Amino acid sequence: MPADTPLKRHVSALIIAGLLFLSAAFLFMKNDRELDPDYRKSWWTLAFAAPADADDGRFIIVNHTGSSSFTYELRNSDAPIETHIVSVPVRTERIIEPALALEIRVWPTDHPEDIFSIYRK
Amino acid sequence: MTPIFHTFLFFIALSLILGAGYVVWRLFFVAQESYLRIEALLFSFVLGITLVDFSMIAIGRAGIPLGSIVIALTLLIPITAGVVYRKRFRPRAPLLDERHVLPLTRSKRHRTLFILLFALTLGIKTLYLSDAIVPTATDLGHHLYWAKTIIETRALPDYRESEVIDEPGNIHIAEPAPIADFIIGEHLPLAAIAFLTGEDFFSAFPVVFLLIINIMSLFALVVLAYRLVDGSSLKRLVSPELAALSALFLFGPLYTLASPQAKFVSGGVIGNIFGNLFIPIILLLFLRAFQERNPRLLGLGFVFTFALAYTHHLSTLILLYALAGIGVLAVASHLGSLRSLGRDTIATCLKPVPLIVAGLAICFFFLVAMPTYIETHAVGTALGTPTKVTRIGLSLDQITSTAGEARFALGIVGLILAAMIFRRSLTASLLLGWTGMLFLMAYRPDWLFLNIPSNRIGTYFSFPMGIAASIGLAWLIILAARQKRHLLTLPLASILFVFAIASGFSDNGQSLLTAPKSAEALETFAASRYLAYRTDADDVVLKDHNYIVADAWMKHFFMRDYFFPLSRGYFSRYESSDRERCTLDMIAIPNTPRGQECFDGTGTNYVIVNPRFDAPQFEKSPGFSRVYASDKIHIYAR
Repeated sequence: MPADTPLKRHVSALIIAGLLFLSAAFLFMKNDRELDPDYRKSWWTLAFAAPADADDGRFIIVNHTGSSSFTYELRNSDAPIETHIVSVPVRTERIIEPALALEIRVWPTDHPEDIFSIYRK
Repeated sequence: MTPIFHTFLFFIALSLILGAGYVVWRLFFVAQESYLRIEALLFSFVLGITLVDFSMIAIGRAGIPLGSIVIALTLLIPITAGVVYRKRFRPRAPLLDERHVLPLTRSKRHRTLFILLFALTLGIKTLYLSDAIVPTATDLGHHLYWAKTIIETRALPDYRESEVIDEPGNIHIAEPAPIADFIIGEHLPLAAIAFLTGEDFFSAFPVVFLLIINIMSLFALVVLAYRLVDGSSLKRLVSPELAALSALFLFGPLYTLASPQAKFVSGGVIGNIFGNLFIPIILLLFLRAFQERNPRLLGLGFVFTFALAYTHHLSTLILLYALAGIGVLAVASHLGSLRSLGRDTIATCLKPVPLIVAGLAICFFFLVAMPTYIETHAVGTALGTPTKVTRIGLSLDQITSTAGEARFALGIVGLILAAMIFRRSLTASLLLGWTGMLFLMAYRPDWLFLNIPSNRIGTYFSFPMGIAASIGLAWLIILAARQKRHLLTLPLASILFVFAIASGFSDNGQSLLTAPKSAEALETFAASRYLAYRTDADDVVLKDHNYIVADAWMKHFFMRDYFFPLSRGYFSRYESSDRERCTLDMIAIPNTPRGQECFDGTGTNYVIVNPRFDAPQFEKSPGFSRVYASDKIHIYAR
């Protein structure tokens, strides 16, 4: 490289700018991964589709687990009425229309200890 | 979009801001004086931010909708004007004038050391931020709500919020009232970048932008250390380059995570981060202006002081106090030659550039917009006798720890050196006045009629003390180099560096997070999205701040009011007798008459809690249905 080219004069600035760019790119990449609901995470949610409407028994399962099979149990006053198994593909959500019940209990079929329930009073 | 594309977009927006700032700086504030390359970068960057701030305020006040095209034009017009001016009037002038690209370090060894220290600093900060990048920080969530408001309304935000009125027989949510805590300059640059890039506030760009400001403030401290030595008789004892490298060492890899460094970045303490960039640059400009009797530098200092007033009230107050301390010491140092000091000061101030800047600032202040804390008459709340135990000052131990033990010890050496050249020295006046005033503000705020949390003042103290420390360290290095054949030199120098590195890195170690909280935050966001989609203006939501991760970001999903959803704050906040307690009681005792009265009065019909801490009281209450369940979040409907 010739003695006094602009590139040589600004090589420190270019290195510093390059390091900043790499740092920023890494942080953007890391943030994308952390906010990816499925990247190294396993979680799911259960909710009424229409929380304000007591006559609407539909519920939603949002699935970010490795399992695609969920079991739900309809209950009235602590007594189970019926139990079903539904398929909710991984990384999707599904609205289920059950018979009307006071309480709905759901768990991933292969993890019965991981149980959530929603109910109306 | 891939992260690389996000990064390119972000840097293009940043380059526009930098480019516009560079052109304005070259056209209006540069004459024959010389600049370091790093000074040119700093002045251009801060001027670019200032240009964005005042342009957006003026455009917004004029009733013109803000948007990506308006912002792009605001930045492209000065850049185009600069290009045209150069082609037409100075076609042979180089883009970067030789006088403006002087390197900070002149030897290859120093340059290599600078890059290594910078790389280490950035590496540590990036490692720390990579675990804190997920949007969970409370302050950042609050600030970015306002930036998002600018994007959604395409207008300047009206800083108002509602509050719960909790009086016997009269519980309700009051109409929104003005708030003084938020200042527009904290939000406009972030909104401008969001407009230009189309990025969401949940992306990494806010934290990356704050990181870059933090890095710029590091450069500002390095340059200030250089100029303090370069423009004074300290130069006989210490080389400016070594002082600058020492500053990079003491502010860079050491204590690089503690407040007010990377922790403020991840926490989104936006105003402080801006303040920590503006203050050293303003002091640098004033120092050079009066040392070189250069009115253009003074004018630029006025511009940045004015911009700081529209960005952060506490930093502005700190700067004013520091300037007062520096002024007193400058007068004291010139006793016997006050006439010449006065003559030089007046000769520098009464010149077209500072007078025009001051005139424009006054016109903008009275005719366009005042900072919110002036409009709401909130200045008085920061002045007066300290009213809380957190405002009565820090102990010496706390001050030492806040500054960093190594920096404090070396800073004493630097201050002694400054005291030795005190006579007729603006450098010594600046260093001693700045350090002394901040020490007093942190140690005995009652002497100065300050009513501000003392730990916040303490974070500002680390800057003058660190600069003094860098001069002290540079002097000790030179001393050791001269006495290198002495038997004790090597052991003493080793002890000094081991002490500094151990102190600085143990502080870093305490700040590193164990793991990111992204899983918890995603559950919070999912619950917020669920409820925001299924509620309307008649519904009122209450959430808990104590046990829910990223709860401050819930308001980004609703975008109804800064106050929405209502929040149960930290328990300690309710110890104050004049604070409403409904938000506490609605979660703690929902089934009692008192809880029910609060629900009825505020109209709250949804409560979001962490089931590990707050589910049983709702499960036992006959009036609450559980409508949403996940591992970390339950939503109860009333």
